[in-house]
Amino acid sequence: MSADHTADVQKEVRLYIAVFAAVAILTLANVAASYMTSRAIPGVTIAMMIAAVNAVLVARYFMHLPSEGRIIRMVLGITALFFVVLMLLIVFAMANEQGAPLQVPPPVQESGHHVS
Amino acid sequence: MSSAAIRYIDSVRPDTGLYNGKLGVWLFLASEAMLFGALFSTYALLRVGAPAGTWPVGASVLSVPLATVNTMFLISSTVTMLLAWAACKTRDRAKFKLYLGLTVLLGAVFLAVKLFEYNLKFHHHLYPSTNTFLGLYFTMTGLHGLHVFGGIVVNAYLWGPGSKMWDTAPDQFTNRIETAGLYWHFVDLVWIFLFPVLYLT
Amino acid sequence: MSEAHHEELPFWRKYIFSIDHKVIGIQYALTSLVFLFFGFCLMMLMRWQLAYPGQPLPLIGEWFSDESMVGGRMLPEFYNQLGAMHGTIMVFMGVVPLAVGAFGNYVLPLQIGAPDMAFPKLNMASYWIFLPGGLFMLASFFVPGGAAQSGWTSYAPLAEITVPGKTLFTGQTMWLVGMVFLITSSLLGAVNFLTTTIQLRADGLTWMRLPFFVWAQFVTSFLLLLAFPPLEAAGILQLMDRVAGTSFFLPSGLVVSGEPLQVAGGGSALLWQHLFWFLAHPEVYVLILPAMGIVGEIIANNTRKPLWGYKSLVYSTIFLGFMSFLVWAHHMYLTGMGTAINAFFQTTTMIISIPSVIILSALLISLWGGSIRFNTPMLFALGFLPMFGIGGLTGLPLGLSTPDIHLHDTYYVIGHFHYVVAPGTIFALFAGIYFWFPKITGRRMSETLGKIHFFGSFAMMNGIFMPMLWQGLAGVSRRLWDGGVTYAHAQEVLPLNKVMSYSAWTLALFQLPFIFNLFWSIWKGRKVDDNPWEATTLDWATPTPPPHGNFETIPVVYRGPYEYSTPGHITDFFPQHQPEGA
Repeated sequence: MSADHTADVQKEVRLYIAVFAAVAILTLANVAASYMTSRAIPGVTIAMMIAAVNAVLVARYFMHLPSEGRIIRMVLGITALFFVVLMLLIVFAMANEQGAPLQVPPPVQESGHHVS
Repeated sequence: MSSAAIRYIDSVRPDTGLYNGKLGVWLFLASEAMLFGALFSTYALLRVGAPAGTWPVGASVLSVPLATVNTMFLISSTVTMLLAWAACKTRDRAKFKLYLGLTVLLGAVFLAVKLFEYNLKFHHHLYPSTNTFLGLYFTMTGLHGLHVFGGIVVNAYLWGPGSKMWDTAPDQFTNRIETAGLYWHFVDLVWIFLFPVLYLT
Repeated sequence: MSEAHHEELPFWRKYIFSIDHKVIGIQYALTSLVFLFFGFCLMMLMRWQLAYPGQPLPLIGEWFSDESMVGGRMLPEFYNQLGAMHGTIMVFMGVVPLAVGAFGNYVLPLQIGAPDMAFPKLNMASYWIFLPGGLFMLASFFVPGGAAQSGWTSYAPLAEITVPGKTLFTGQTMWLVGMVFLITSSLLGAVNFLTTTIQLRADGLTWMRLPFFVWAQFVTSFLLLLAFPPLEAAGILQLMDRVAGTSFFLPSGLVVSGEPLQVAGGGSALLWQHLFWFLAHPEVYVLILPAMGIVGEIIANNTRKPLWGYKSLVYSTIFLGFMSFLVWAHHMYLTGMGTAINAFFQTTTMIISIPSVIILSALLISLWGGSIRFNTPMLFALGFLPMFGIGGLTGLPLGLSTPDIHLHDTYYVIGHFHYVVAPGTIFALFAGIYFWFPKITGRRMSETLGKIHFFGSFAMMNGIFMPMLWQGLAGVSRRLWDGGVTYAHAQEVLPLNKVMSYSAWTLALFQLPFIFNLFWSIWKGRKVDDNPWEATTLDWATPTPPPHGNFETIPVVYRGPYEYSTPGHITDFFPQHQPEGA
């Protein structure tokens, strides 16, 4: 293997370590944030945002997604679209129900099966 | 009689820029995204629909510190996987063995911690049937764990008997490591979302 | 790695655990035909009960245990098992494995000029996951409580509380595990088909020169890849509910037979329906697209002219596949969804009828001005067209939420979807068997027996399914063990039950010439050359049967797939791989 090739790979390796450090730090930040926010919606949002950044880092630098070519990106784009359809439409469908939207009755309180 | 061979196993098809294994694994990952997506949808729906005060805070039921450490193990294993692939590209067999071996080890540690966590829950009489949150916790981390296990098996094979291909077809072997690596990164990706969703909200 | 074997493989690696797509295709074909036959038998049993409710089944009634038929009289639980398993077996173990596993596997690599699938070992794995999954499904009839009996749709909470048990060996639990196997097999197959089509096309075989059959299989594989996983997830969740005591699909406060259910609750039964139909709607396009692909090939070949509107066919197929993910809740109009979401799904459902119509119209218009050869494959292909037309048209009042209020869960629905799948898809599959038989065996099936098979089946299919539309309009519900005998609104149309049953049993008789023909022709059929239909596509450019690796060298393609009656060319067909000036 040529020396250039090895040098290229070594540069890549330094990048991988750097991204690893970023992901690790962001994860710790996420944990810290969860202790600081209340159980309200913003908690979920921050958690998801940091997770999304981590995901982008992994996808971009570890999985080399940008350089994978048109076909892969098209496949993933379509998948992402249907993923969103699956999540949003189901929740929207159940929220739009006649009578009692999102009718998921509370768990039973008697006979010792209570929710903490 | 001789016959044509399957093309683009280790070389790249010009108009797509891909070799077969890479396309195959990305397609598989797309289906896996839909699999876990359905479970995340289930989580979203059941949680949004739960009456106020009935859905437990993750941290009150699960151990965040333990899972954070575990997350570090998994993220580290993803980097060692990448380093193993880099070692393949520079034909450094010793480094390859080291890094892929670490990947397998870290993956196994992740699973061990997970099993320890499950045991902790059972010890406190917390089962999947106890409430929906726990049902989702066990099911989603369980399915994820099965995927981790599958990845460990594949990586262990490539570290052991499968590594014979290093001598016979090093380019194809490097591609196999890349392909296995993509799967392993995906397993990490799922955890990157699973961990905050279950533990941090 | 080249698979150019010079040494002979042992029998078990050549015919049992083969990695050759052609052997695997035949394995899928034989297995799925057996499963289809089994599912057909289940239906024939049901039709006895519907024609003669409560009457003992003659001759074979005594073969059944008292759990299913007491003194030969069918119990409602058994009727429900037959219904649920008939649907499951026909869809997941019969039609799709035949259309995709058999035809796709055998023909696709040949038509794109490839030596095999991209991942031959994965292909073998797909079959060997399918087979145990299917057998496990069949085995579920023999466990206490019998097979799954809550419809092929397995709606919660009924499916979860019926024959409950924490063990693996209850019918519904075995159904769920079986489905996980079948789904996994399909997913691996889809990865293979997609990679093969994208990567292994011969030189010169651009996307718009692909036979329509390949496009149909390609889009079908995308549907399988992306739509099946949510059902696999849902199946796992229902398994957890049944076996681990969770309540993902069990609402709180559920009372069963006077006793409150001892579960944590907090689940949603409707969630199961959403996850199920997210797959099951694209699944129906998985059922029809390969059939359209087969019909397209046979029509082009037997009209001796190119398919009309090739581009429209391709774009409609792609659009159809895409839209199929956005319509699923039209199966759920009566679940109490609000008007906004109902309107959304109704709109997408109406939109999706457009590409279907374009495809059917293009196939029909392709007949215009053709020199039509009325051989058996062509007869079945022609029969497909009006039958699919009826199936498609009867889907319209179901897709509109208002008439669906009257028609939902009636026999009209059963008539509608059977028209599409039975004289629709299955006719196309028959056509394909008659068409590709000479490539596999080097012999032709008997035309006489083929014509008996066709005309008899065509008449009897209509005898079964047309009355269903009638009964449904009269309001007769589906899944009634006694065929509607106890309902006042059903009395007028009850006699049709006997008409349908006799048609069904006669349909069975008309399959005998086919079964005989299939096996007899392997040894005694008229021998033919490599390209008896004088076809243009690459699958007919190989020796017969194609050897391992299919082609000595990868062919080069010079033109589109349907150069029939090309002006200036000396013969009425110009194969894709033949160089110019030949």
